[in-house]
Amino acid sequence: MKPPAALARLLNPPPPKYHGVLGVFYYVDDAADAVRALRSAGLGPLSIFSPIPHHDLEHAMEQGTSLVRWVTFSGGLLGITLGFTLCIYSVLSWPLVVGGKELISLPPFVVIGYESMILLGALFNLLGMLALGRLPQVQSKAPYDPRFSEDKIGIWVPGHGETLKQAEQLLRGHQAEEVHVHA
Amino acid sequence: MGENEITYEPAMTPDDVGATEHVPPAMTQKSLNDDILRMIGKPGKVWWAVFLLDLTILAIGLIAERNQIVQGIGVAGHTRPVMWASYVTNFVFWVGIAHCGTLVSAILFLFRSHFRRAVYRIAEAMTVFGVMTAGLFPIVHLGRPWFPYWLFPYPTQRGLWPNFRSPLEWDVFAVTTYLTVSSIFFLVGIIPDAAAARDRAKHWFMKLLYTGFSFGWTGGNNQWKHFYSAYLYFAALATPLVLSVHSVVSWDFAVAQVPGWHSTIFAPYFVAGAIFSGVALVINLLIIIRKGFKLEHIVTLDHMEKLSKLVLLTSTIVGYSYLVEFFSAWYGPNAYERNMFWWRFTGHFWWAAWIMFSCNVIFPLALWFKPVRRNMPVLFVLMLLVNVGMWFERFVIIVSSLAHPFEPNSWGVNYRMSWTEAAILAGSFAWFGMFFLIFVRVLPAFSIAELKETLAAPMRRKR
Amino acid sequence: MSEDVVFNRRDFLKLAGIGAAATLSGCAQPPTDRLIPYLIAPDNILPGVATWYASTCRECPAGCGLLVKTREGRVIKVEGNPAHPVNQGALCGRGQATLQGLYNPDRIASPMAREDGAWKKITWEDALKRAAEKLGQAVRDHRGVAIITENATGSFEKLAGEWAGAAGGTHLVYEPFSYESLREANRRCFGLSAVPHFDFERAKMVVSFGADFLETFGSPVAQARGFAAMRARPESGFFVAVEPRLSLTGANADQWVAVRPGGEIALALGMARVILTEGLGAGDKSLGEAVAAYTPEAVEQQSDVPAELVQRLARRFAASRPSLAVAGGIASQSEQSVALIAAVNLLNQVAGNVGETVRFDRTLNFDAVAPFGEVQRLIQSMDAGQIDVLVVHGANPVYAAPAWSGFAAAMDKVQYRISLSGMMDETSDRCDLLLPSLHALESLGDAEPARGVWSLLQPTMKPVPMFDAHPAGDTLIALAKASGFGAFPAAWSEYLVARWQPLHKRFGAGKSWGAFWDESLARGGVWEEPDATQVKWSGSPAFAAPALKGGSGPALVLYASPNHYDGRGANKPWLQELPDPTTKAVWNSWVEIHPETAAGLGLAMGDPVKVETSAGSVTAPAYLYAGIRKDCVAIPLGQGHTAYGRYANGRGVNALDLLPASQDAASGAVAYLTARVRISKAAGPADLAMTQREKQQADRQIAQIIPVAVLLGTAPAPARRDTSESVPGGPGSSAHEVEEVEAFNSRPGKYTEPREMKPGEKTPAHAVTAYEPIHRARAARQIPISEGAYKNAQHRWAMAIDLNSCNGCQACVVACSAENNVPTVGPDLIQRGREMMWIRIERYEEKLDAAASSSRNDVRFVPMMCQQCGDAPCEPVCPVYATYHNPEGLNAQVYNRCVGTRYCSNNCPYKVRSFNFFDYSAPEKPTFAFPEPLNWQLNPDVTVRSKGVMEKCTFCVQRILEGKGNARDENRPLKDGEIQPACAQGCPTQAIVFGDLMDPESRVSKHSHGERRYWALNDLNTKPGITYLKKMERETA
Repeated sequence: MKPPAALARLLNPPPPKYHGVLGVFYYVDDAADAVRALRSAGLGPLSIFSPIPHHDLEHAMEQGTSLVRWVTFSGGLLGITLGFTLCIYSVLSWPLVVGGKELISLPPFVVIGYESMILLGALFNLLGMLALGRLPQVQSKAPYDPRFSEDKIGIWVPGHGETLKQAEQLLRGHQAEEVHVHA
Repeated sequence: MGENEITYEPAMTPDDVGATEHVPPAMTQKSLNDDILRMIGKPGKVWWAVFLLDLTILAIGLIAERNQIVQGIGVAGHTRPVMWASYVTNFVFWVGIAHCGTLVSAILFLFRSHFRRAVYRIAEAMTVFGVMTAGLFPIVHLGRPWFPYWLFPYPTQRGLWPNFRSPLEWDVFAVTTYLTVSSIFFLVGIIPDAAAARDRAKHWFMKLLYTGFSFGWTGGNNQWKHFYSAYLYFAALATPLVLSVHSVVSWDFAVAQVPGWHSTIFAPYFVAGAIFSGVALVINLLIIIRKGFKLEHIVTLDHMEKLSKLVLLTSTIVGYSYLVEFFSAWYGPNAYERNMFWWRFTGHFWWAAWIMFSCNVIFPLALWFKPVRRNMPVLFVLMLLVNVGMWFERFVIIVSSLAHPFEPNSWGVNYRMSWTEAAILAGSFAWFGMFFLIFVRVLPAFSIAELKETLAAPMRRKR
Repeated sequence: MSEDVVFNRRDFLKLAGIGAAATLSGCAQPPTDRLIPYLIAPDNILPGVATWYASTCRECPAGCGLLVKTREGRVIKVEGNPAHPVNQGALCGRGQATLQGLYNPDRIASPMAREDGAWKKITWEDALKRAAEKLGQAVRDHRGVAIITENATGSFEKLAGEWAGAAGGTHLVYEPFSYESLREANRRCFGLSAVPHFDFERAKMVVSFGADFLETFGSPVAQARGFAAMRARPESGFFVAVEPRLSLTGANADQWVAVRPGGEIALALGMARVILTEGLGAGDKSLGEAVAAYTPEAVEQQSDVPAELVQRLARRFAASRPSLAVAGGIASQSEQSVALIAAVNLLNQVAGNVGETVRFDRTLNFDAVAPFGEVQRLIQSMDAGQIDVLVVHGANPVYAAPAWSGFAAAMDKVQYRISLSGMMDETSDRCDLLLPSLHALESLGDAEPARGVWSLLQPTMKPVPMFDAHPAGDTLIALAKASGFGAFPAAWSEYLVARWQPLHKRFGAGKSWGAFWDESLARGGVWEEPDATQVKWSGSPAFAAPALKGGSGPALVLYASPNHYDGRGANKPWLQELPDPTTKAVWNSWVEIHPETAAGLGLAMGDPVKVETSAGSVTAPAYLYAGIRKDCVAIPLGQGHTAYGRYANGRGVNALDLLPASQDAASGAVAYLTARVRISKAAGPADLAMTQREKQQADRQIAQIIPVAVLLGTAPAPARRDTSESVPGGPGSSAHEVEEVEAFNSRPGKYTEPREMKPGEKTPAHAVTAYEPIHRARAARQIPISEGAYKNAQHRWAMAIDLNSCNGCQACVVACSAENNVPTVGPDLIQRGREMMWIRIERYEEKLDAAASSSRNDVRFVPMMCQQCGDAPCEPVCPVYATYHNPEGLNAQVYNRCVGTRYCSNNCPYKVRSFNFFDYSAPEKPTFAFPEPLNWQLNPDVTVRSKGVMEKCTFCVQRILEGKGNARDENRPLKDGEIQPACAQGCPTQAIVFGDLMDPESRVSKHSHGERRYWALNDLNTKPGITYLKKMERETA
């Protein structure tokens, strides 16, 4: 059964023209070595595909800490502020005494502020993750292979001409199972 | 560098997993994909049979609800003084069920207890669907169920705002927040697995569906980096949230001055109770699924035993809370309270109180024995009893406290459950079941990615 | 109902809306004439403003004066007429419910004739023709004609008499409770056949031999007022109830002597003997030999009353002068009732009370009421076929005459039976022709309920259009003319006017007739203080104790229901739903049994029990009541109708069926206390709807008492419970609690106390009068309870309820339902605790001891409604501000905002909020509470609440608004007592005082500071707006 034409185009778009080399690994340590070699050779920027994250690869890539936490923090901050503001504004805008309690009775408002903090914190956290992780992504910036979601690790070295050869050698040198060159 | 230590856990080598139960040698990253993605796909006869039965019960519940809206809340058994009864009981019950998921996925995540990996997706699904069920009851129990939106703070030209001092208003915030956060947590966790499903999907529609769920995930290093960082903060936010939500729910009662409600112990006591009942239901569901889908090698007896230990722990906390309540009633100065607790166990609803006590405190004592914890049929029955007990706990707290208020004049008017309420209660289980049945057939019910992490990462050079 | 005359509920509410708008804004376009059936010219009606008319209550022969409130030409409430000598402004529940007689959906809609068994609507012409035919025939042939009326008194009675005379027939005034034994006894003792005026107010001690003078005996409202006045004096006012079953009246007694049924007579004479032998009395000493036989020991042996108690009672009775002994109710309806009443007369005589507290000035008018002997004669002649035409108006003998009298059967032998009743009661149901009469509130007339009182009835509204009825007087005259006998004026009104000419001469004081007539109508009649007829002792009948028929079973005690009187109240939903003051049961009959007796039979509360006599048997739910002797069972009268409309028909049982043929030896009156019964458990589930099941207050101190010794300063204040040990079962003592309570209450609610505005403090936009500088600053501690909410509060509405005056009669409950459109929900919903009443009287039986020797009797009544708490628990829990604190200290309830979470009710410690579980206000719903035309009674100033919202007492906020509006219009400050909620207004004993706590001079402020004040569930610190005054606890004899 075929999808409608429009969908078909969206689902399997015409593969874009990639320029670079893709090495497919099974063993993590091989992949890690390859990454180090490539980076010391000044190739890159590399991107790595893996079914699960691996410390070795990360260390090899020497990537820093994510910035998501700051986004999350500011979200939480905003949330608690909004929570209290809403409560206090509402009682002042129409002052009704209930049960002889003070108009601005803070203890109950703490609950509202607290929940709002968590709500906005979580929402910002989500947005941060999507923004920084470039999600959702419609078009992979490197040739993607379904096996990457199973048990294979892919290393993509973008480049042209000379660099392609150099990269290919380095990858093969580190026992890549397959090497695909996109010239 | 320190950051890297906690962005995700190191791949587990067979020895630090204690190999045997956790990872049968046969299991590889590929076989995991096979086993778990096999669950997705064309449902069989059994599934359809269960699903249709479920929809029938749901329909009955809906008819009862419609009848109640047309005729008035009077078709339920409420009386003065028992103005809250089974609907609020169900609300608290389902919110409680919803607590286990976040506990397993968030708290155990922070505690690095790896056995959660095999079970947390199921638990999270249960959380989301549990909150979706619980959220219905505050509306169902309203006298004028067509005005629930009046409880939400939205600007009107009349300048009306809700009363933020009311515990019911706190509920609005707590429950909606909990629903949002737990759903996000649930869906974010699914992203990598959805990608795996996508890469295997045959039918164009499924492909489209999983593309949606996976946000076009490719497992790139940058994605993994922010994914795990965010996941950590979700856990960090969900943990205090889960504790606060049931505390807030408990304050619906603790803030009121009704004898039997007005007690400071309620918050921790309710949270423990919530986890207690939630884990019990997870165990029930897992026992069915691992058998139904032949996944005993993934959800092993070890996992089940660890979960039942959690039940045992919370059961003792709950039992302790009961005793402390009675003690403080007896020891404390408040004679209304004393009178109330005596009545609770000897008065009109004595049977409910004793069901509560035996199911939540006495029967679970069996879990002290390893053979019981590892015997699935026995465990199944035990966990069912626990949830019966927990439903009755809320019933006892709500109904028996209300039925014996300060004013002797209104004593003796006792609540009787009506058919409408019974139908709606059954319908709520069907509502929950409907989502769950769809879930196991559509989304990966176990976290493939996290399970892979429990396998030894493939190394050419042995370390 | 025809749409063009009547308007449906929706229009009505529209109109009400306009009305309400008018009260607020003062300007409103007059509604279209079609909508309003005007009584008088439109320019006299101000839409939205009530018009009041004086009239007279016809629910019982007492004849209280009414003020009838009409809105847009429609009667919406009846209240007591303050100027009227009988009730002086108050009105009992039965009287207030007369509205539902007027608007009863089951009133006969048009003349009807019975044709081969079925009723057929006919026109008035036709009806009169048919009647005249038979009647003329009978008169021409000098066959028997009889007319039976109730004790209407006044002109109508006269007319009926003349009518019967002209027709050569008999006129019979029938009343089930005819006081004939009382009249007979007085004839024999004092040579005057009359129902005396008992002056409770002057009495220093009262002994009641079964007289339920707060319920149905004599003139209850007036007596309740006098009784309360007597009880308000701590130094005297001792009250002893001598009766086998503790009635509502008895429940107010300090001491209950549970005498053996029939033993009252011995006790009365025994007391008299003690007084005579010890020479204590003021009265004449010549009566010694009459009572010689009744030594205390003899009395003990005849009545179970310990000899020394007899002496103590007698001594105290003689010592507290003037005292009062009164016999009535069940005790005075045995085979020896004349003897008993004579004995009590003798007791009064020797104690010197006759002429003091027993006076023959304003005697009740029962002069024309036929002794049962006459009724029997009529029955015989009917039975013998000597009566061709029978006309009945008002009376309902088929229901109310005991089965053994055979009235129904005899009536069937009459050729042609005509009913002039407005309702299809049992008697009308056996007639051949119905000529419906107008309800009292629709008709012109008069009454002489008591000597020196000529009370007027006037049409307070145009007759309710869906009922095609005529004034009874006109019907009689028309009948006479049509059948050609007698000479009567053209119309009833002329007859009445003619009758009033002498009164004009007497009271007119030179005024023109017109002026006099208008004044009298406006005032409600004319009256004078009649001077007492002096009586002297003229011997007494032979004294003998009544013998009870039938085996050795428990004695059967039948008593008149306080709600339904002789059964004529049973067709009014308010009265059916009004809890019985003793059992708190509704919509039913029941059998009161002592718990021990019941245990012997394996009976639990509500179990069906079968009661049998030789005459018949009835089955009704059992009510286990510690207030009845173990050797008695009691059943209320007034239920068990087989007709009389949807609300009465088939509810409960008619216990009259149990009576064996038995009459008073001397007067021939029906003996109600005459049978012994067999009781057995019947099959079936327990089924008795009660609004209060638990009658012990479990030491919660809802109802409190204070020994008179403390009030008189002869004893120290008793040690009270420590507040820290909050209530039940606590080690009950530590005197410092008093101070604690004060501190507790005089502590101002920090945020509910008026205060000066801080300099520079701004008034926020659309603030509800909050945050403006307080003008009348007031010391925080001046008033013991919270002031209510806002910083510029001008008033703090509050109430003080005197439990010493409240006798549990529940007039306030009916008043509240009438004022606030409270729906009735029926027994099934009440079973499930869903009554809607905004105010209830809680009954707490602290000490009930059926042993005749028992000393203290302690039953307490607490009117419980919204306490309008200063710090109300219900308010903060509402998520949508549907209930909040208003600037005048009221705990406001906004029906339109309520979403029905019911949290407020859960958190209300007093449980005074009622919830609309169903739709009681929608005509299309089965639960509709106001079937046309009952909805005509709805008060247009009060919303009719819809399904799913909470409601409660508002202190009659609509009346507060009206009062403030009037004061503003006349641009003067409010006067204390100017605003009266319905409950306070209707209270026969003025137990409820309403006013402004911020006015230190107001009555309510004074009460709130009084020595007897306390607050219900005070230790919850709700700072209630209602202050209760403790009941006085007297030393028993």
